[in-house]
Amino acid sequence: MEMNNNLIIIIAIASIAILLIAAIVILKLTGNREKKDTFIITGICDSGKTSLYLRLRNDKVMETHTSITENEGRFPLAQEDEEKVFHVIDFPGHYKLRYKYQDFTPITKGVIFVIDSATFIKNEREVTEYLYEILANKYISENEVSILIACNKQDYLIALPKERIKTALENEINNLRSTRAAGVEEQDEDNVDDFLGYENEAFKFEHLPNQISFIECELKSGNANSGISEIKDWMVENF
Amino acid sequence: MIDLFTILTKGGIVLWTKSFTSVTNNPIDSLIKDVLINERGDSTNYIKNEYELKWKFSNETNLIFVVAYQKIIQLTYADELLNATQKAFLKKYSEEIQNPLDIENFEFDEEFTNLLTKIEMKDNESRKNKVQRSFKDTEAYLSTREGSQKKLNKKDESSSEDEEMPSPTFAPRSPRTGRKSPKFVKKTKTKTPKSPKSAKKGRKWDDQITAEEAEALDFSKKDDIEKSYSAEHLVDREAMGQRTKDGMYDVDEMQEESEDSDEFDEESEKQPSGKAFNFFKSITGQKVITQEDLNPVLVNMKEHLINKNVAADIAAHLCNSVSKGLIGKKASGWKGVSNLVKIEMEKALRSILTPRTSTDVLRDIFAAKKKGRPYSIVFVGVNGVGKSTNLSKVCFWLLQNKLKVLIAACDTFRSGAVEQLRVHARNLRALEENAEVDLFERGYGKDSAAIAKDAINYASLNNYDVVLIDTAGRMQDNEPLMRALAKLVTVNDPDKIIFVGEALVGNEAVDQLTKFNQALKDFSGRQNPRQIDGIILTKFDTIDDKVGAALSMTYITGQPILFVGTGQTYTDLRKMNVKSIVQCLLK
Repeated sequence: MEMNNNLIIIIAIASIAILLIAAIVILKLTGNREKKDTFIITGICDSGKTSLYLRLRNDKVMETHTSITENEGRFPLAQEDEEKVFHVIDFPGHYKLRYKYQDFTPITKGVIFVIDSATFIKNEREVTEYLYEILANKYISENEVSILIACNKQDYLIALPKERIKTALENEINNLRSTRAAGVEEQDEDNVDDFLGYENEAFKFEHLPNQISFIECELKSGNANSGISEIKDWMVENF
Repeated sequence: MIDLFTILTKGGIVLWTKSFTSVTNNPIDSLIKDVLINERGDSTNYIKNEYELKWKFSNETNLIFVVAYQKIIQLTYADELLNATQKAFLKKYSEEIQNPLDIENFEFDEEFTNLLTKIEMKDNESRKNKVQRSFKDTEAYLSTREGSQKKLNKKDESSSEDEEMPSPTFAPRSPRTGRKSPKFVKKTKTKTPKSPKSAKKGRKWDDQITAEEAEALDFSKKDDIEKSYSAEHLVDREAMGQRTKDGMYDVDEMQEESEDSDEFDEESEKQPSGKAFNFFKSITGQKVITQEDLNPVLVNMKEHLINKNVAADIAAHLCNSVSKGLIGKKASGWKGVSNLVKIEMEKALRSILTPRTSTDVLRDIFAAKKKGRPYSIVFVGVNGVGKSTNLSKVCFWLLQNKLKVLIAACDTFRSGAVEQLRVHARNLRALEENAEVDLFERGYGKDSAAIAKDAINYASLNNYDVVLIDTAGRMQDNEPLMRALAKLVTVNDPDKIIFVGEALVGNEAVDQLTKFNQALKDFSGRQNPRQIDGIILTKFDTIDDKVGAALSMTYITGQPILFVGTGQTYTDLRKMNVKSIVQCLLK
């Protein structure tokens, strides 16, 4: 009788343990399979990423400096539907800190690439290299992530219109495509970048599987028609 | 006196700022780009244009406090102001600061102005006191007849004065008083390990006799010390117990560290909260990291890096900057301090190794080609590191991309150097179909700068796309040869100066690179001298996981490693994979 009791207790304990382990495993698995709902804000230094983040978050215009870490938050867009909570990350644009965005590309829903239209001619190559890197990213192209290219600082006199920026980017990506394909292989390389667009044809953004849109904006001017509402519309559309 | 004071988050958002004059050229952006991002954790001030900047991190809240002032002013109280402001600001917004974006407005002007006037006044006073020291205050006065008469009276006076003097300026909220009291607590803390130490000493026979041990044996003093501290014995024990909980209670090390650096003491002063509370925190894993917690871990980390062939200085710099980034953070839940250090170190290594400019040489070459001029690359380095070999590897890669290459044999010193390049050129022609590669040579003993000049002229006349200039190997200390190299660079102004270095070097890497850069600067005679633009790391296949040289070289120059040489054949040229290097270094 006593033996039997002991046995029952042992079985009970064992089954509870198994159940617990199973629960933990299931929790872990579901935890890892995160939703793709992240919007990332990228672009080179001083293009206005953190300003955009602040405008989206509480529609504030604040003074900003070069970021060292990313700004991350889950919030409903300012003056928009409270129900829709966006996960937005603003990454530092400095060359040395850019790599951080790569960890988030698997869960990225949309990319906002900010460009300083006023200094674009000077920084053309750096901007394009960064954009190329994002477009060629394995997850971005496989998941056909939508990309919004925000041509910021349109309030400056020397700012280029978005059409000019678009053609300049296309030309430069065309150049980069050939040099990147011919580059020296990396040591123990694991991720080979995809070739962008069609071979034997000049690069056009329309060739990509991703949906790419251009808008003009002026995030710090205080102008009523600053373009922020278009960015929000685009985000809601892609939510 | 100061021009600007700013409080910003690490994400770059300015929470509060006050400028006293209009500040031009935004020195804070340059500070962040030039210093903070590049992990130059050791520097304490930064000079940009007419400004000097000082800053302070508050890691527990992810804030940076920056003060800017004219560099011609010798501002003595900048550090004090930073500390005081940090304390006042964090006190005022202690609750809300975790989510700084939810706060509408930081109203801090009044407090700051008060602080500033207080500190400035104190500074003025101390300066006045220094200037107005009359003869009667000097020691010489005491030797006069009048002085010796007053000697006794004066002593009493001065001592009472000293105590009274500061009180009017030291208002209860003044930062000085705030700092002083924790300092006193700290003092008792640092001294306390002495008593358990004298008990422990007996076990450590193999230790050498240290100053502390000698002090412990000095019974003449000891009695007094024990008497005066016996009242606080309980407190001491608690502090000790807290450390043991971390499993890193190491008397010898801590003693050394806490005694020879004031800065560390200051850091830990920031957490003067109750010890019992801290003790509880350490159990629940919400402990705030102090320098004492970090020291043993960092010593191990430094050793580990040096074993990976990282230059010793650089390992020390890195550990310093990592500790600055961690002090004040909370060690959460399961992660121990060592784990946090590892994560922080990985971040630091990654950002050092990641290039800060484009490494797409091919794109540059095509840009030059469009302009119709040849792109010139100079290979420099010490003897026998593989300049010619890697030049031919680069040449092979360029030929694969259908470029027309001219090799300039500017090693006019070592016998066989020209012939070696001739063989390479011949091989390369045979390897690639339609390869267009030629050797430009003028024999031995000539001036290499002139040969390079001729080669570039010849290349532009004959539509070559790239000129690869091979130079003679030279030791970094050989001044005549370094002068010759600087001349070659100045005369020809090449598009890229590539330093070829062995992956086998350890501490020597620092010396080589700094001296090459210095020579290029000193002997150029130009206003904007050229520096090394990139590095090729050779013999990378021979070092297994001791990849420290890669880190040392990028840290010193800040320039990218363009390629690594991984073998004997023309195809053994690779791009460096930053991720795998970081993994190797931390393995």
